[in-house]
Amino acid sequence: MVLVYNIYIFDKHCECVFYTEWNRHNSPLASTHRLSDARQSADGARALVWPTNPTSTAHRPSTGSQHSPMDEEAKLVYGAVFSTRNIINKLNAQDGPRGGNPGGFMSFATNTYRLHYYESPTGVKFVVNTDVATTNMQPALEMIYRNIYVEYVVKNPLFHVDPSKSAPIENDYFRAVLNNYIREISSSATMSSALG
Amino acid sequence: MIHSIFIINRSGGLIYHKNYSSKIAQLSSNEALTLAGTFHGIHVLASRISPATRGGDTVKDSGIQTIDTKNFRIHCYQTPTGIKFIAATDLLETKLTDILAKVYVLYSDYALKNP
Repeated sequence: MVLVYNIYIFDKHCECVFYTEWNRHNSPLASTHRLSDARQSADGARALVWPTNPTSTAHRPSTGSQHSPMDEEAKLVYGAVFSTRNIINKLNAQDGPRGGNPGGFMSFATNTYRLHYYESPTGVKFVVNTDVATTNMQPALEMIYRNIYVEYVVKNPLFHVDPSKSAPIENDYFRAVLNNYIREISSSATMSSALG
Repeated sequence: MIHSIFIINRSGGLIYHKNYSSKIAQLSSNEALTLAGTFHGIHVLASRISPATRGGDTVKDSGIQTIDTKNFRIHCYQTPTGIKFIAATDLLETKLTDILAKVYVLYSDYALKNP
């Protein structure tokens, strides 16, 4: 039984282009100081819609602050993942910010969660947090990249407007297919049945 | 099979570093120092970004305990005083907490108690 907390997708410009949570127990950046109630999952009434395009009409926090807790947290996650990947690359004697994860960093674990990492050859980074018992999400992450991201985002003729700029993924098909896939993984007893 | 050991103090400075096999990159002392500092940083970051701690719970996130890669695994044991013992091993070792705890005992006996 895989318990998936949330997913972040970062593009090669180091921006977070997608975030969803399913079973998260706290609010963004609440784990250190602030007391907070348990958040509802993305299927609940208060779905977190982030990140958003500046011109889109999707829901945005009314404070209008540039640095929402979600922005901060995405930066921390990216920093943690980027630094870990570089440590591993250095220990494997493979230096340089090449795409494709030459050192082979797969996951790290604390006592409360495990963070899984997958980097596509083009530099798109997928980060998924699960419970500690789930040791190998590499096949699942590769499936998410190959069969969901590539199919619904890369091959979408409306999405690739400007490859030198970052654009958040606001694509309902992508979101729905990803939600289904994660729900399948979470409820199936073995990984192989969800990968078929 | 342990490839190397790092000991980091509570402010992130490297205290000890030794390689025991040639399968891991031989680091210059500068590289080892930056690596220790970076690890200290991500150890703290990992507890900050945890999605699984509830507000008001007694279970706090401990920071990174293992890092898995394709060729080796990194284990970290943090003492209550903030010293981190890090070991890079092959994939056959799944949990090094006991061994690193023994290393802590040896360190405190021979290094700290030495007048």
